[in-house]
Amino acid sequence: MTGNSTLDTGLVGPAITQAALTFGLPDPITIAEELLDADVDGLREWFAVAARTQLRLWQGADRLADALPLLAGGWSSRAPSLTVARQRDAGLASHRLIGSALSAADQASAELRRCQALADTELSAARSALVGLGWPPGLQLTTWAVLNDQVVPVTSIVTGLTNRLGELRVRSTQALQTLALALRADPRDPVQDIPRVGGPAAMPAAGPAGASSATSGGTSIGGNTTGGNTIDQANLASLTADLHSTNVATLAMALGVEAALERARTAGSVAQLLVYESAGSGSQGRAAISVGDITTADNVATLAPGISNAPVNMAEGISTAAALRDESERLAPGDATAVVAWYGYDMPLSAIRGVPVGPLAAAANATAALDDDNARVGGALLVSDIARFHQWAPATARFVAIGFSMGSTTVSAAAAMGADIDDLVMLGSPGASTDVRTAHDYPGLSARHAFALAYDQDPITLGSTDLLAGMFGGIGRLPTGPSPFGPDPASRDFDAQVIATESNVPDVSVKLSFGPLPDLFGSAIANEVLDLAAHHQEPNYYSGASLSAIASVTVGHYSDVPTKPGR
Amino acid sequence: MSADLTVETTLIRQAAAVLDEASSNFAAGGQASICPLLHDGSLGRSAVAREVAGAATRRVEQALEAARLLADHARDAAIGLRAAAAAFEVAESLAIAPPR
Repeated sequence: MTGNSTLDTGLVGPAITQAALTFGLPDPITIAEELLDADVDGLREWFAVAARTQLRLWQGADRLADALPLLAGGWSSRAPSLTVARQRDAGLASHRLIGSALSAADQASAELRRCQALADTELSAARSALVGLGWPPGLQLTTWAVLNDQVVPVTSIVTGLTNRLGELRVRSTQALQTLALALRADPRDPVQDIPRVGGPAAMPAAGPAGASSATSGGTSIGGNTTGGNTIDQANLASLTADLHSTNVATLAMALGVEAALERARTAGSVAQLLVYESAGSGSQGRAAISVGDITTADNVATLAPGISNAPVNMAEGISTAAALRDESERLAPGDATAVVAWYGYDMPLSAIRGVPVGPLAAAANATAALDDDNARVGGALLVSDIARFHQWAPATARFVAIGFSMGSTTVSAAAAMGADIDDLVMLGSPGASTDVRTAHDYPGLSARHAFALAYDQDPITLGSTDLLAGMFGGIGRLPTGPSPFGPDPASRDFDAQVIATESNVPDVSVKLSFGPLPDLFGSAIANEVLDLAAHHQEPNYYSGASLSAIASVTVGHYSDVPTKPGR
Repeated sequence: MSADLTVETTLIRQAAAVLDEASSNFAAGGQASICPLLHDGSLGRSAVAREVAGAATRRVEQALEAARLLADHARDAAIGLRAAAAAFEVAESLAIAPPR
């Protein structure tokens, strides 16, 4: 806690907390701590750095403006002047964007300071009022109040303090919301639109020869100008070779990946084959396709699918990736988002989707659905894949790992192994892997950046095994003790951010009839199977309000993510 | 289609010098040291506080990058102008040479 003496007295704060909780009120001391802990000095330091850059942008743009009359007098062609004027305009536009953020930061800083001062004053006033009643701070406040017939004034003081601190918290939150909105604009955007001058050869070529243009188009600027054409060259070459393979598993995967790439391109996006490892008789292979250019992305989301998937059918995952990318760019129009469909782990039950493997491999692949072994091995692969994605992406890009069903177990395992991500999202999760007990166990990732979404009707999220939960959920948990997939990330004990959105499909239920015989478990089991079929579907999690919430996490708009207490 | 072209290379060179100054200004704006000014939780535990802390850090880095990009643009333009001026001067010297 910073700059506060009132709470340091040691006796008053706990007494007020105890009294408030006894009266059924929110703890005013917690509210006060939240207000007083805000590092306004850090915000001011940020302001100073941003302001220096903003000033230099203005000075640079101003000098560019000074060059314009010289160019107009020195070169009858308008092209050079237009080029410089465009640079000046970009500098001024960037200057304005930073200025808006600075203005909001200035106001937010002032408001936070005011709220801190007022909170401190309120605490002091409450303390004085309580002591003024004759309460000796060493005694328990409520007990003393009852014994001394002071319940009414004590209640009034504590209630008033709670209400006023609550109002200050609202003011503080509003100031931060205004600042958050101002910070949603990328100051690079105006600059990224201007074409590059073609270098020393461009202007002379345009001059004496009589042409009027002094510039050349050039390629887009910022980040990796190689775009998506080189980072995946080797993978594309491997894919091309596999399309001529005589091994049926290799060929099937190659055809699936080719179809997925085609779907990504058809969606109007850059498609990059970031990971490609051929399938064989004992392996379903590995592949990852980025929908959108990872080399220029502001946000990179990596999606891990659940069981019964394989690179053979990853075109379906491309649709999900494209939907998330569209929604992310709708929510943050100034940010470029790349969504990677990551089919990078040995997904159980892939044979269901037609992966041509031998019977032994198929059997092993099916039993892998019973625990988190494959997810944890996959988590290690995801850690290294994300590290490679970072090398291709801009340094400032945000990284989010999102998994559905066993994919959520996999991304959680990756986070537990130190994956370099900003946020983790677990959808329809059977468990967060046996590598963690709570959201506080991720190294380098705060629990506040671990999100879980589990529909109440989704039996897979109830802690039974991924494969069998649908059949047995209706008659209670399987007798397996702790879940073989680890803790439920949507539980209160796990302490993740639990997303509060509803299933996008209507409930369907049946009642089985066996004539005069009682229906013991039949209807319950049938309904669990129906719930599994209806609610535990990847498109159900990646649509409607859930899709918006996931996209909000992807672009870092945390204040737009609806949350609720864990179950 | 052709068009008459009038140039004054002295002014073009002066413009290039001004662009160099602009580039220096932009470059200075892009050189601030980026230390973690705000970290997750700096401004509180609420969602909006975390959003602000993350976005503020990212945006200032992006502002620095914008300044560096503009510095590159201005520098490239200055180089191009000088090269053009030199080429104009060569062309002019050739144009006034007596016929053989």
